Amino acid sequence: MILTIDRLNKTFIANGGRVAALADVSLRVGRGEVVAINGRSGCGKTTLLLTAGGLLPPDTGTASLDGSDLYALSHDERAVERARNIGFVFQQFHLLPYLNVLENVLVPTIAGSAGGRDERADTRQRALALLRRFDLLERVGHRPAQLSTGEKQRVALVRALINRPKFLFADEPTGNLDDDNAAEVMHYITDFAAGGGGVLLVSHDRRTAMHADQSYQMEQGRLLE
Amino acid sequence: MKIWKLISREIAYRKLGFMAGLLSLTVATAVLVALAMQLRAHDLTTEQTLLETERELRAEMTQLEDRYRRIMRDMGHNVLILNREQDMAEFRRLGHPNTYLEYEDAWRLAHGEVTTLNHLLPVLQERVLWQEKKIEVMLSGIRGQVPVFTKPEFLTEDDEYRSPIVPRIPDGMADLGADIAVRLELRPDDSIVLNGQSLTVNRVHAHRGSDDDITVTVPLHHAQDILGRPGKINGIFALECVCDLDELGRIHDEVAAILPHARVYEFTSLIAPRAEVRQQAEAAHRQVVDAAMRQRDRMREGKERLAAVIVPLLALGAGLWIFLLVFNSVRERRYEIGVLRAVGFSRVKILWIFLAKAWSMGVLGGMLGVLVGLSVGLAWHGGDSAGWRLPELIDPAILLLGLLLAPVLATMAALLPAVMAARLDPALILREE
Repeated sequence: MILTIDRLNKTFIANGGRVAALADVSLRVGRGEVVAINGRSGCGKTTLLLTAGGLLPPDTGTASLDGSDLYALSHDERAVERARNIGFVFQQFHLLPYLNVLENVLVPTIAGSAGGRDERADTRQRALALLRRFDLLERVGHRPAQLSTGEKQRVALVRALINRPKFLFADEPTGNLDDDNAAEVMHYITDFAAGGGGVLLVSHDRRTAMHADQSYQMEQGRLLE
Repeated sequence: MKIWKLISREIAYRKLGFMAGLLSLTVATAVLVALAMQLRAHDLTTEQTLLETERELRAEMTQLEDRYRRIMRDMGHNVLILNREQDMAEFRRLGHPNTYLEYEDAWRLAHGEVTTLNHLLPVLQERVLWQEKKIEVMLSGIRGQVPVFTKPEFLTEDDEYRSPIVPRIPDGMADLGADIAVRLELRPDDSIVLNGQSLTVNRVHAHRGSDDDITVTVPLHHAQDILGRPGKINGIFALECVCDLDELGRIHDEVAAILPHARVYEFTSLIAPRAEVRQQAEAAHRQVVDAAMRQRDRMREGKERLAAVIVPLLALGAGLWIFLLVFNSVRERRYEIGVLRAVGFSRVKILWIFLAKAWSMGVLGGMLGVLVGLSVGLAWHGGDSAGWRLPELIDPAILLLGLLLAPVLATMAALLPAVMAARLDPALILREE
């Protein structure tokens, strides 16, 4: 298993009351596997994704990536782990508006390592290769504002993959896309899994489940088969 | 890609905010530099004015001293050097010394380290009976003034005095006092015989109302012959040049060091007024300079007080402005921060992104501020009547301060919002979607 989530619990205080965002959630994702979690807004999908991705410490339980307990690591060590082994894709893409496509793709490499001249050139070549694969080569010099929604999500996907992560977390990756673009993005995601990576995607879009090896329903912080 | 590229791209993208911060830092630094130049120009101008005032006063003092010297010279000698054994009561009674010095003593004094005396005039004076005319006269023998070699400013190229108090009397000649000339009906060029010494009347002095009216002045060697005292003198007249009453004792010390067998008799009635007048002139001089200094200090204090208020206020304003700009930037870039954290940026890297931007703003603002400040300062004072040039108006310490102040100020002002940015919870931001 590449991702092991064991009995995760996470509670938030909201409107003076306690809301269980995650209630005893356990999950396993193997190499080459795509796991989809569907559910309505507010059911705890994003909390699960962020907790599993090392961004939101749980109240109890563990999240391990390739055998490494993410929350046994310090803040900085977790940041390094995210930079090296984890990719994130968001519904709103969150591309940096002041960078062009190529630069946006290269942002995680700043976090990954200082990098020498050779390594930077290598990374750049890798980015261009990925952009070619995602049919974005003609857009490398464009800013996000000049891209279509589908292109933005593809750039976000390339950015998530630039550091050759072991695992990809996708939060509503098709939420803003039409059917064609959604299918295209899901194709790339499954393609990544086919290369040996693991994918956990959360969405209220049932179209994603069609591409998943496993899919779960989430309700009030609980994972249902 | 390097982090600097990320920062520079963001600066270029949100250039308005950056320019606003830059402007505030430029203004604060420029005002600091321009005010420092203003103070420097003020110092230079007042220093120059003071120097000119001092130069003028010194010139006036020199003129005044020349006038005193001429007045004193015209008033005659005010010091008489006598044999140490001279009984002063006898001196008073006879009207002349009755103890003697060697003529060479005057030259020893002239060659010695004497700084307090001028116009040394060796003299042999005695009251004698002019046997041929049966009248009593004061016989005075002089050989001209002995140059004080330590004071070359008084000497001609021939080591003679430039303006002697008493002119030389040629050999075989005699100057007569007015009473004698009238009584004996003598005029210049008349021949006379004085106790066997044949002489020609050189000059007849105007009536002076003193012993001079009954004095016959002859060359020293004639007097020594007439009186039978070869090589002798009984006094050395001098003009003391000490202008401070407290230092009169120095004359005694100097003379005693060279002529231990001599003593000094001072006509203090002539010394005191001179010293007093000179002291008053010096005090007036000091008052003018002190008043100018006080005025300069008052003006400088005023300008310093103004600078001490304006510069910190501007720095505070700039700091507050940058704080608000960075704080707003952190709010604006929340999702960006969240994503950067998600893709692996550490808290330190987020902190660094914001601080580096503020630091860049500060470095650029500092440099621009220094340039603007220098231009303003130069335009302000380069065209002064003094026409100060840039290197004269620049204090390198202020330039360094200007260059350092802006980056330090910007970084300090950005620190709190940058820490807030670094501490933002990426999960909280990303869940907000």
